[in-house]
Amino acid sequence: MKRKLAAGLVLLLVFALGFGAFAAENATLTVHFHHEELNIPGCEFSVYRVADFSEKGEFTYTAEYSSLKTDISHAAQEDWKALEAELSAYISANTPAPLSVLLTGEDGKCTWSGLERGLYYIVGKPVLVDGWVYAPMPILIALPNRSSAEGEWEYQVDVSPKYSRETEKTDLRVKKVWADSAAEDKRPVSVTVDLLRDGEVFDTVVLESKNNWEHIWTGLEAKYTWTVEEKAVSGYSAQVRREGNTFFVTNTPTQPPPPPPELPPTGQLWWPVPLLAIVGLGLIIAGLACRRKEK
Amino acid sequence: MKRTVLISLGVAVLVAAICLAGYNIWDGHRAETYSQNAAESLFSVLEARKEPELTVPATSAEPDGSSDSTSEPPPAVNEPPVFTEALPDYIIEPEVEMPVVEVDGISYCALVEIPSVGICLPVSADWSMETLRFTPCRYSGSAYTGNLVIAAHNYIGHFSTLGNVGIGDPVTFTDMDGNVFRYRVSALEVLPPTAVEEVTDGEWALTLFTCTVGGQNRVVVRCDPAR
Repeated sequence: MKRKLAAGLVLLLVFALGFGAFAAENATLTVHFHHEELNIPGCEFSVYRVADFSEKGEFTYTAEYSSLKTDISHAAQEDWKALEAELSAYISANTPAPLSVLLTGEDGKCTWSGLERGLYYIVGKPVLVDGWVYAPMPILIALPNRSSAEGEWEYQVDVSPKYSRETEKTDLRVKKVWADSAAEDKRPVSVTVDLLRDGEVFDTVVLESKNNWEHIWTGLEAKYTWTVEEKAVSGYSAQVRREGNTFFVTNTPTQPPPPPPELPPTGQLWWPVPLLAIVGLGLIIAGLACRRKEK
Repeated sequence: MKRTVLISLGVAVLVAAICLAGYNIWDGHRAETYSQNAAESLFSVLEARKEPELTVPATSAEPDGSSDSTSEPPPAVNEPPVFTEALPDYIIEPEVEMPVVEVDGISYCALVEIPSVGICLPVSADWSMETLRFTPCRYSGSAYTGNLVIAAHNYIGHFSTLGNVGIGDPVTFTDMDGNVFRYRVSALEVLPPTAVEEVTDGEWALTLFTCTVGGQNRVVVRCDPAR
């Protein structure tokens, strides 16, 4: 009796599992991020579950995304574009929690498994590899997916995101420094500085007090070697020193200026006032005394 | 006759004395008003610079079909490039020029405050006899290299009260990037006008000077950085 019960239970379990497996039909989603032959590792991808996808082929937003306006119940190609735009804005503004976040491995791939039927949105972060910045475009994908209206439903889905590829950029600044004890009157009105890319002149700028003796270049490609050179300034020697992304060009006078002979007079002319007052009064008194004498 | 002449002369000389005194008072008031207005403008500039910059939201480009798309968001218009190093310039390279802000044709490099004697004045980046008529001036050195010297006339609105400072009084110097340098008065001396070397040699981090009332010598206030 016990054995029959046990056998029955096992059979029930197997049947239940089988039924469960058939009913759940979980999907796997693999992102393969690569540029031609180059696989891109270490790229962070987040997957968001945007909608349920019924067996009948209907999409219904999940609770988090229920406020979205695009009608996706029987979506066509144009609706997906509208939805992508809406999702991008929604995620920027509200930062909903993604379902999962993975990094691509050395093979440029990351895989989510055990995903339920649904509509998923995949977003990747830009990553720097060997002086190039690869920025993947977001992907909207239904699971299961099929490549054509007549095709088979695929539960193991592979996607390769489109991407932009740009060389790493940097900003550089040049700043003039006058090591001349504030002898501004001896300085030139402006100086000319060349920006060199791998030793060749790339740009020329003028530094003067109007631009606070500095200039910033943006968007320079980081793969080159950048240096600055100042066009010779008579009466001064120049030294260039780089700290971080700033070139300090220090000019020192070849001949130190002579010190002024005296501190400037910074007083108002008050001393004559009492003097004049006394002299004036004295003259008046003397004049009055004369009158008395004459009398 | 002699009497008339003497009295007339006396009156004329007295009137001259009164006129000179009047002119001095008017001139001092003029300078005070001018530099107070300049100081207010500079304070506004510093306040404005403290506020966070408004950021123009980047518009993301539509992804197109090609995989090598290099479209990027349009650059924000009229926004100067934001460039930050880990440390302020004057710490990395103390010889850098003090940044200036121009108000009414004069380039100012700082605001100096000595609350104990009611001084709150702008400091122009360069000096000349003409500039001294309007505002205290940086005579030599820089706050960054620890040898700054500021000169001003002894107008009522400028440095007339300078000689009244007490040892230990706080002095504040704010540059046009908003960096604040705090000092304390260490010494007060009266020096002859020929003492240029002594005034500018950098033994003290900050020196301020003006003329004595007689105009023959210089009142020199010495300050060290506040600990």
